[in-house]
Parts: sequence; structure tokens; C-alpha cells
Amino acid sequence: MFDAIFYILSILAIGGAIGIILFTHPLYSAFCFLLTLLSIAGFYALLNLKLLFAMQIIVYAGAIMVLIIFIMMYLNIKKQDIIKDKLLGVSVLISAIVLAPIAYVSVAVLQTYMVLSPPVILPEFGSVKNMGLSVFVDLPLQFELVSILLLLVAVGVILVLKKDKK
Amino acid sequence: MNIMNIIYVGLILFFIGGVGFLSKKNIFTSFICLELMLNAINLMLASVAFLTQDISTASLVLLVLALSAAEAALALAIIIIAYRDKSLLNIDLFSKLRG
Repeated sequence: MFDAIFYILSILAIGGAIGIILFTHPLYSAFCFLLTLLSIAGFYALLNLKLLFAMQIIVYAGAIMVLIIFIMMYLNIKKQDIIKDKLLGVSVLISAIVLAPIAYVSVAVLQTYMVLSPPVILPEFGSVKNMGLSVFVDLPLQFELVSILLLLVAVGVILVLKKDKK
Repeated sequence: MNIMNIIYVGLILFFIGGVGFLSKKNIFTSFICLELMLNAINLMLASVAFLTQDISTASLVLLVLALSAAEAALALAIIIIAYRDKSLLNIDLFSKLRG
């Protein structure tokens, strides 16, 4: 059962990601990205992370993607705005060279970890209560830094957009 | 279900995002590919959290989500001012944003 769900979700996620590259119009890419985001939310559900599943759908697929699609429609992208892409082969090569050592090391480390201590799944892992406690108990400094960052971005966006109205 | 399979999916998504980010000339698609890379990292982080059964790693994903919201707001503001000046969506034009 879990295997079937996993394969469906991974086909949807990777297919959506390939669709982002293959479509030339950014709006179609955005809808493909939405498919990928929803399947990543499905992966979170599969990993028993309930709060992340909800947040991925509400914050990412709900808020951020609506903002991106809204800006695309606001700018009204026409045919002449779409530029031909080049150097696909070179970028595949560069990404492979950059990613290969990272992938090799991380897969090796995690496989060794799985052999040494196989995962024992706790029943209350990923519950909203545990995650809320861990945000405020384990990571209070990071939480405050993110809140300061959000405030700075809110001020910065207003400043950036007001610049030419002197 | 093997947890390593989800790590592989995350690595594939990161690779596709990197290819799109380097090859696309449209600023919007480039930005979407950047978000895809961030999501792939989030997915890998979440599966590591499941593997180690460490909930604080999973709450780090929550903070990265807030960070990517901030990044999206700022990036879209910069795209809007660049489009207002030149009415182009080419990513090469962003080299003219210097000083």
C-alpha cells in the first residue's frame, strides 16, 4: 500500500519537475510546480509529519504559489517576452558535477546510519504538539531570527517598491 | 517503504531544479526552479528527520518554509521593479542592477 502511494507520488513529483523545464510559458511551469508541491506534501504525509503536510499545502501551494501566479498575471506575459533557452547540455553537466559528490556522500552516510541503527518509529512522531514544543524549546533562537527576517523583508519590499516615486 | 527512496527522489528534484535554474532565461522559470531546489532540500531534511526520529530536524523544515516565503516576496518585488524599468523578463538584464 505504502509502496504504491510512494511510486504514484514520485512519478507526479518528477513529472511536474520535468514539466517546469519543458514548458516555455512560465504560467504552465507554475502549474507544473504546483503539482510537484502537492506531491511533496503527500511525501510529508507518508513520513507521518502531519503539521508539515498541512503547512506545505497552506503556505506553499496556497500562499506562495498564489503570489507567484498573481504577479505573472499582473505583468501580463506576452509572446515576445518569452526568450529561447540555451545551453541545456552544459547546465545538465554543471548540475551533475556539483550534485554528484553531495549525493554520493549523503547516500553513503545515510545508508551506513540505517545499517548501524535502523529506524524505530515512535507513534507520536510528527504530531502538532511535539513539533510546536520542539520549535519553542529546541530552536528558539532560529525561530526569533526567522521572525526578524520576515519583519525586515516586509519593510524591505515596501522600500524597494517605493524607490522611484520620489 | 525504504526511506532512501525518498532521499533519491529529493536528489532527482534538486538536480532538475539546478538544470532549470542554469538553463532558463526567463526570470520567472528560474525563480520557480530555485523554489524547487529549496523544496527538494526540505524533502530530504524531512526524511532524515524520519530516519533519526528527531523532531527538531522536522521543525527546521518549518522554519525553512517561512524563509522561502520571505525570499519569494523579495524576489517578486525585484522582478516587478526590473519589469517596470525595462519591460523585459530576461535574466541577463539583472546584471544592470548594479549600483
